[in-house]
Amino acid sequence: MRWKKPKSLPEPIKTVTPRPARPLLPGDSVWPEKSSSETSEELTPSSRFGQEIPAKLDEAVRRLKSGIAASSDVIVRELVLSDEGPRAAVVFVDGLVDKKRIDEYIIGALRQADRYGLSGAKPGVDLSSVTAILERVLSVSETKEINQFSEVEAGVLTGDTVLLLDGSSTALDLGTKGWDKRSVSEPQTERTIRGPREGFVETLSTNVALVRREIASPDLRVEYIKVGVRAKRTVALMYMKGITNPAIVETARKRLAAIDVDAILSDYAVEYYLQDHFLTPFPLARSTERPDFTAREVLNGKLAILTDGSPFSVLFPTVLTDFFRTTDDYTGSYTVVTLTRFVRLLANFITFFLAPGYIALIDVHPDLLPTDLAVSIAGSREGVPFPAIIEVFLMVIAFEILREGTVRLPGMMGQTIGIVGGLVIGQAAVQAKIVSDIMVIIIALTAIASFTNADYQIAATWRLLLPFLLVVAALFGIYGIALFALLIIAHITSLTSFGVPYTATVSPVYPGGYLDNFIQAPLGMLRTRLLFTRPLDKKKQKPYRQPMEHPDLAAAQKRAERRRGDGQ
Amino acid sequence: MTLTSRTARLAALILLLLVFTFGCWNRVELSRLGLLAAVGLDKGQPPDAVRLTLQLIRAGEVKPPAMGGGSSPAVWILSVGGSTVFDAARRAALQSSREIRWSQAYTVVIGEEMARDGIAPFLDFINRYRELRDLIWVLVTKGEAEPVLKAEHELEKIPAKAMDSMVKASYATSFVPAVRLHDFCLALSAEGQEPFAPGIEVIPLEETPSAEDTEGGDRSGVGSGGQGKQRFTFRLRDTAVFLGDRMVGWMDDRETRGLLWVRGEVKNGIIVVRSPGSEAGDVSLEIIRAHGKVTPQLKEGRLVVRVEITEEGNLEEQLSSGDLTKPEMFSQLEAAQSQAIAAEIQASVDKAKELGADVFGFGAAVHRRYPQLWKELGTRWSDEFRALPVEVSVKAKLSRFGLTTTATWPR
Repeated sequence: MRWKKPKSLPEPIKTVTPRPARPLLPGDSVWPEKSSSETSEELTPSSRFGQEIPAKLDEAVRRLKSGIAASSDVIVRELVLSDEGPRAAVVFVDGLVDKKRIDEYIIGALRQADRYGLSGAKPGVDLSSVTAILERVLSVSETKEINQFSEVEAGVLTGDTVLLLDGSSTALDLGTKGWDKRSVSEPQTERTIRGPREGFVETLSTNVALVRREIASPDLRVEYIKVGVRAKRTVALMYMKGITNPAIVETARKRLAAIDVDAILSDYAVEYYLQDHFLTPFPLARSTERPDFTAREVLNGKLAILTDGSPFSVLFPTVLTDFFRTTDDYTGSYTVVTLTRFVRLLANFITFFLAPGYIALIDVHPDLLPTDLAVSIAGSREGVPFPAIIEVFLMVIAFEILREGTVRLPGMMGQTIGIVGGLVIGQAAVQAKIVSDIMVIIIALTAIASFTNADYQIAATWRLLLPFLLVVAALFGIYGIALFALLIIAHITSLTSFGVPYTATVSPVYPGGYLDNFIQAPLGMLRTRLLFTRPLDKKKQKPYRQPMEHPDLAAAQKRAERRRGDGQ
Repeated sequence: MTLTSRTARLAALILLLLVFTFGCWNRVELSRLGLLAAVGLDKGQPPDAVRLTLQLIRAGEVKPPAMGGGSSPAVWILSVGGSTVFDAARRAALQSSREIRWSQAYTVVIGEEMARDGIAPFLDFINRYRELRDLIWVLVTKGEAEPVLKAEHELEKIPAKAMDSMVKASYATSFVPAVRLHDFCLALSAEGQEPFAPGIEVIPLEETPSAEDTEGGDRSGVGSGGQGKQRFTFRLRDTAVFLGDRMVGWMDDRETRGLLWVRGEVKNGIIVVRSPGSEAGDVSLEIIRAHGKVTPQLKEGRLVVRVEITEEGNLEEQLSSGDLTKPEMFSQLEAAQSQAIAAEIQASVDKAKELGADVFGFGAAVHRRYPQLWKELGTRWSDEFRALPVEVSVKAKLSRFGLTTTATWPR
C-alpha cells in the first residue's frame, strides 16, 4: 500500500552554471559583424553575465548597438530631457510592446516634466535622478530598477522597455508588454458541455491569471523560473502551499534548473525533462488546455507547470487513471458520469483489443466463432485476396494517413477528406473486394473509440502499440494477445511519475481512490484529495449535512397571503 | 532493478519457451476454410464401411442476392466413402478445394441402416475429433442420411441450420426429443438407460413448374438431371429407440411425449381432449409446466416403478359451445387432461417394453436406489424391464382460459 519516497530524483544541483562559451558556428549568424577591436567574449550571451550598466549613456548605447540593438526590431530612442538636464535612451523591441504606452506614459511624461521644469512655475523634477523619475514622472505601474547589462537585455527581449539615463548606472525596467495575442477562447482539444469555455492562450501571464481566477486563494503559489541558455523562456510552477507536497515542487525546481538547452520551445519539452522515464510510449504527465481542470488538479495536490508560449499546462504527478477523467466529469450528475466513464474505458479497450481480437478469432481460432457469425464473416471475406492480417494493416495504415491528413488540412477541407476517405476507404474498397465490410466496421469503431479520451496522448499510445499486438494476434491468437497484454502491464507497473507508481489508485490502493477513477462517487463523497500525491492536507471537504428539510411551499404561500391580507 | 546477464538470458529463454511450446501455433484463414454444416453417416458400399455425406457452407452465397450474395445454393453436398469415418473425411479433401472445418457443424444425421447395425464404432471419431463440438444434435433418419442432407429448406439457406432451429423448437410440441451428441453418448455408456434420438424424414416439396425451372435456375440439390425435378424438404418425426448402440424401433409422436413426460423433459405442447358436458367438440389445452418423477419401490418383494407427473395447463381453444369456465367443467377438463397424459405414458411404456429398450432410465433409477438389487438385475435388465410394473399417477391442473370466457359461437 505504501510507496517509498521517490528514488529517482536527480542529485541536487548547486548553482545554475552558465554553459561555457563555445566557438561561433557558421550557422549562428544572429550576431552582427564585429569590429576587430571587440573581443570574442561578446559572442555568446552568457559571457555578459556580471557586467554592470556603464554610467555613460554613449557607452551603454554603443554596447547595445553592438548587442541586441543590432537587430532591426530593437529600437533605441535617444532623448534629451531638458536643456541642461541629462540625456536618456528608451530601449524596446518593436512588436513586443504597447507603443502607445511608451509614447504617452514614458516619453510623453518625461517631456511633460521637462516643460514644467523650464517654465519654473513649479519646482522642477530633478531629471538626472532615476529615483525621482520613477517616483514622480513615469505613469507606469510595473517597474524595476536594474543595474546589470544582462538584465537590460532580458527585460527588453521579454517586452519591457528599459530607460537608460546618462550618468547613472541604474536603469529602469518598465512593464510595457503588449504584443498581439490570441484572445481567450474555447479550448480546441477539450470541449465540454457544461464546463467553462475558457482555454489557455499563448501568454503565460494570461494563463496564470486564468488559473488564479479559479483559485482565489493566498495559498496558490506561482513561481516563475527562466529556462534555456541562449533564449530564456519563463516557466511557471503553480501549487498550493499547505497542500502540495513540497518534495514535488522541490523536484520540479531542481529538474528545471538542470535543463541546459538552447531554448525551450514547447510545453512538451518541459514535460520531457521533468518526467521520470523517457523509454516508454506512455505519457507520464497529463496535459490540459483547460484552466479549470488545472485548478482542480492543483487543489487535488498536483503541481501544474505552465510554459510561456504554450496553451497547455502539464500536471505532475500523473497516474494512468487520470487520463480517463475530464472536466465534463465534474459538471454533471455522478450517475451519468459513471456511465460515461465506463463508455470511455470500454472505448479504450476497443481501441486496443477489438482489431487484434478479430484477427485472433478468424486467423487462429475460427473454431471459437458461433456458426452464424463464422458464416457471415467468411461470406464477407469471400473474394478478398489478402489474409486478414494484411487487410487489417492496409486499413490501419489508411486510417492513420487519413487522420494525419485531416490534422494538417485547413478546416474547410476537412469535409472533403471525410468524403474522400469515407468513400474510398469505406465503400469503394469493399466493393472492389480489397477489404471486407466487417473489417471496415472494426477499423471504424477502433478509430472512433480512440478519440473518446480528453487527453489524446493515451489513445496515441494504444495506436502505437496496436500493430505489434496485431502481429502477435495473427501468430499466436488469443494466447498471444494475453502474453502481450501481460508484457504491457509489466511495463506499466515499472513506470513512475514523480515517484508515484503509474498504476496508483488501482495498485497501490488509496482511501477514496476508487471513488473517482473508474466510477465517480457522488460529489459529497469525494472527500479526499488525490492521495497518491501525498498532499499535506488530505481532506478537501467535510461531510455535508443539509441544515433543514424544505418547508411546504403551499403553506408558506398561504402564510404570506394571510400576512398581506392583514396588512391591508 | 538490475539484471545480471545470466538471469536476463534465463528470463528471455523462459519467455521464448512460453511463446513456442504451448502448441497452438496454427494460423489458418477463415475464408480459406470449408465450414461444415451437417454430417451424414450411412452404411458404405463394400469395400467401404461407411459413407460420409458432408454439407459444406458456401459462405459467399448465404447473404441475400441484394447484399452481394448469390442465388445459387448456399451449401455444397459432398459424399465420400471410406473404411473408417476419418478415412472418408480425409478422402473428402480430394474433392474439396478448402480445408473442411468440422467445428461449426450443427447436426449429425445417421442413416437407419447404419443405426440398426450398431453405430458405436462410427461415433468414436465424432466423439474424439478435436474440431467437433459435442453439443451438436443427433438425428436418425428413416432411410439414408444422404437425401436428408441434400434436401432443402424454404426458410433457411443452410438446411442444417433449419434442422438446428427445428430441434431447438421441438419443445413447442414435445413430439420429438432434442438430443445432443454428448447426451446420446452418455446414455450409450450408462447402465439402465438406453439412448434415443429424434427422427427426421424427407418429404417432397409441392412442385409447380415455375419460371425458375424454365430459366434453368438450379436450386435443387436432389436428383440431378431431369426437367421437372422433384424437390425435397425434411421434417422431424418420431423417435429412434436404441438398445445399446443398435436401433431397434421407432416411437410415434404420442409415445415420444409419453417418454418425455417420464423424463421430465416436456416443456410445452398441446393436449387435445374431448369437451366435457353434452356438446361435442374438442378442446386444446396448452402445457405450461410439467414435472416428472420416477421412484422405484419394492412392494412385497416385487420391483415396481412409480411415475408421478405434475402438470399445469391453460385452456387455449374450444371447438364446442358450452361454458367451460364453470368449476365443475374445469375439474372435468383436468381429469380428461390427466387421463390423456397417463394414456401417452402408458403407450410409451408399452412400446418400450415391446422393444425391450429402457429409454426412460428406470434401470438407472433402480441402480441408484437399490444398488444391491441392481447387481442381480442389471445383467438381464432388458428382460426384467419387459415385465416391470409401472404405476402412473398424474396430477394435472388447469389455470387460465385465455381472453374470452365464453366460446366463440353463434347465438
